[in-house]
Amino acid sequence: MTEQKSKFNFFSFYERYGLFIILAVMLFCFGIINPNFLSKNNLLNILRQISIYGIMASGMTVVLLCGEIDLTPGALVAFSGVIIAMCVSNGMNMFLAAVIGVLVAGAVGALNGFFTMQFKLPSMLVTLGFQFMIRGIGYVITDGKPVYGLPKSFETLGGGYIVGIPIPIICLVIVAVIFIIFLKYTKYGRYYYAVGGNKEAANLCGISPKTVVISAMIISAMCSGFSGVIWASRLASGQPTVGLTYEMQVIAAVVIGGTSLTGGEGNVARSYIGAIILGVLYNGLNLIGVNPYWQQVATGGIIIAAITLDSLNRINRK
Amino acid sequence: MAVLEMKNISKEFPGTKALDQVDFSLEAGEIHALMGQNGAGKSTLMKIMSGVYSCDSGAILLEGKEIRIRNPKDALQHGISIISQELSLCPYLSIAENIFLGRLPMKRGTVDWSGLYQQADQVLKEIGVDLNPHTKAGELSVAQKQLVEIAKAMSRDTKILLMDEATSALTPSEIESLFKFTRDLQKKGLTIVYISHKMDEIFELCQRMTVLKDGKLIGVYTTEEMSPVKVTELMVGKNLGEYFSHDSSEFENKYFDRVRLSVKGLNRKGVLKNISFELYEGEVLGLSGLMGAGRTETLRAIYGVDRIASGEFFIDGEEYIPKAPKEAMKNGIAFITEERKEQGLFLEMSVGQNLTIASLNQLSKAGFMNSKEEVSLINDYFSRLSVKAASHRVKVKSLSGGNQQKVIISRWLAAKPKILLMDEPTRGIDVGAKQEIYNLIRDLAKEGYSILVVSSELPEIKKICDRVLIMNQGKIAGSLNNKELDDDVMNAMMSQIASD
Repeated sequence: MTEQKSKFNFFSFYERYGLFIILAVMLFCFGIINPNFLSKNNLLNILRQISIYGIMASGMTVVLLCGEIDLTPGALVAFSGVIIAMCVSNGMNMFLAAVIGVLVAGAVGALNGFFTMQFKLPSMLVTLGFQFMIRGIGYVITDGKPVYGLPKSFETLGGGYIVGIPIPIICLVIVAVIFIIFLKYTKYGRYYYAVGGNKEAANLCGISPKTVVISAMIISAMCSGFSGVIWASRLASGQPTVGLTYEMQVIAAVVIGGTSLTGGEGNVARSYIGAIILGVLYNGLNLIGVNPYWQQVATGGIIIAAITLDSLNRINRK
Repeated sequence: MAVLEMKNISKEFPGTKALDQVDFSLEAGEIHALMGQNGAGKSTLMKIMSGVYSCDSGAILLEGKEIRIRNPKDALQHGISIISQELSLCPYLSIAENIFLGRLPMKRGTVDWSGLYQQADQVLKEIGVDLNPHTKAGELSVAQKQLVEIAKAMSRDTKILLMDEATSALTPSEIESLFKFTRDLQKKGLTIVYISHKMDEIFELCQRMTVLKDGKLIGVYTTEEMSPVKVTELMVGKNLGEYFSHDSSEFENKYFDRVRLSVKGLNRKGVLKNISFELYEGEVLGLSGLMGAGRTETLRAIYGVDRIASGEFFIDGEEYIPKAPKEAMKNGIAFITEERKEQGLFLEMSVGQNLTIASLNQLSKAGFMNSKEEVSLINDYFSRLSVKAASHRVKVKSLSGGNQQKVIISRWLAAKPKILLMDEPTRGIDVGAKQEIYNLIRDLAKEGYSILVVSSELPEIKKICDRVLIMNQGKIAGSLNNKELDDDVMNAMMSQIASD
């Protein structure tokens, strides 16, 4: 018995430190091949690149926790960006416009949740449908062309700095802190785990799965809307074509972080690590001059490796 | 002659030694009981026999020859079938498909559907089960599913049949016909291993028994040299003088005057007909009846889970409308469901989180959890109900059935209800834990809780209920006081189906 305790268990070790080790190894390797990789500028650059993915991953984690999925984020990034750009270029106060952008996205999330729960549909299909609709409406109202004519001050959110740190990173950190606290230290956070773990039991405990799932969808959509605001500010325009397949990157980040697709199990802090791993991978491969086609192959490899280890870990625990 | 011998079987899981050099041997044609509390290693031994687990060390001999059972398929090929506690039917396939899953009859390279249904029909008829083989398994009740499991095992060329809690959801008459069938199988030369928490079944059916405790072999006995008390003492390892006594004086000296819950004219289309009754403060009221009599449905209606056609409800004289579980909880009702895993537990969540999930409102302020209070509430109930868990942080799925049930009862007591609805509160848990739960139920009643219990086990009803309502086809057929409880009377009331 004592022998067994002292025996090194790869899986429990991986469960605790695996993500950090993968990240450390990547930083180390890229740093050796190209010393510029570890420069302060480049590291900030990576964080800025992942900031909007990180924000979207926050909402996506909540959705996956309750056993659903959201495929609208990419379309919503474009849509809310377009709406804000149109409002601001027509003279609206840009803060008000940003709020409108986020709220419109939230409304789409409410529809996602409502259709999923009211008519007992798979969220994958409902959000796939809304993904097309939202993307399409974005094209319709802009005629497929970017919306320009934004004031210079609007670019601060996406391109500005506070004490040398890009503002999008600060946005991500604030969002991350809110989500970590929300999921771990509030009763509402517990609801998502409960509904994802066992909808029927949750209902009998007075937790309405319908309300919980709809709220998760709204949260996810608002995160996407907020990312859209930052993105529009970075691009200094509303681009109806941006954000294609962002949801896939975001789901990849969350899943690498170990959140279960079947719901009930996961951790939002790890989703951020997942996003950072993906960001480091792209940036590092770029810097050391790897062909972009191979970058895609590498991303796929990381996803497969992470979910396989996760699953082996789960099997091992039984 | 020993048909199957298992020698020096050991199996270790991370942290626990599930089996420690256990010997187990089956004589051809006997019905052999495997006894022990939850966690004693019965299920592990069964799973090794049926190929779900492989043993770390030890040998298995079938008819004198050493065999290896690496997976369930090996076991089946050696003629070892299991009817397990956890049902494993595919809900969207028909009964016939489930019975012949993996070996559907073929004709010219495609499935021979008419042959399949014919054969399935024959198997069902043989064991006297009146089910249409075209019905989807998902539409069946728990009892019916169990019968299909039995049919599935019987349809194979089985030499050794492992029955793990096969009767836990069956009604008395269903159990009787199962016993008759089991004995017929025995006459045909089948060897049967029988696991059950119901002592009376063991003594009625089995010739020998092997008792396990904490993964170790305690001994092998014939049923004749044993008594239920002796077996229980071996299983628990303690002297249990009053375990099987039934003290009816406790019930006689009680009288009730305050109506807590009153139900008037409860109707649900095709399920419940004009149900009216009163539940008093401090009373344990049993709901007895056959499967499908409407017992669970009555609880669900009170708790606001299912839509009802009509009915009035009063709690402490005030009208209560069961719109949703949330509403029921607000009015002080708690519901402990029959299927722990499906409707009760959050398997991936910790023991502690499972315990507090129904009282998050009282544990939080402005939405933020007070984790200090949460931990102290958890510890309170851990000691009050003597929940055995390594820590409140381990996942609830790692606990034994009895402890899981205690966690669920704790969950609902923590929500501070006045009325407890309990559906088969001791299903699938071992004798020791059962007795603890009976005591708990009686204690709660003394504290003033009103408890409505659905149970299929008559001894259980006798032991805990002040009064019993007998349900039959969605109606209340009668009401009996504890001292009037008599198996024959109850059986008659439950099954007066044809007469009206």
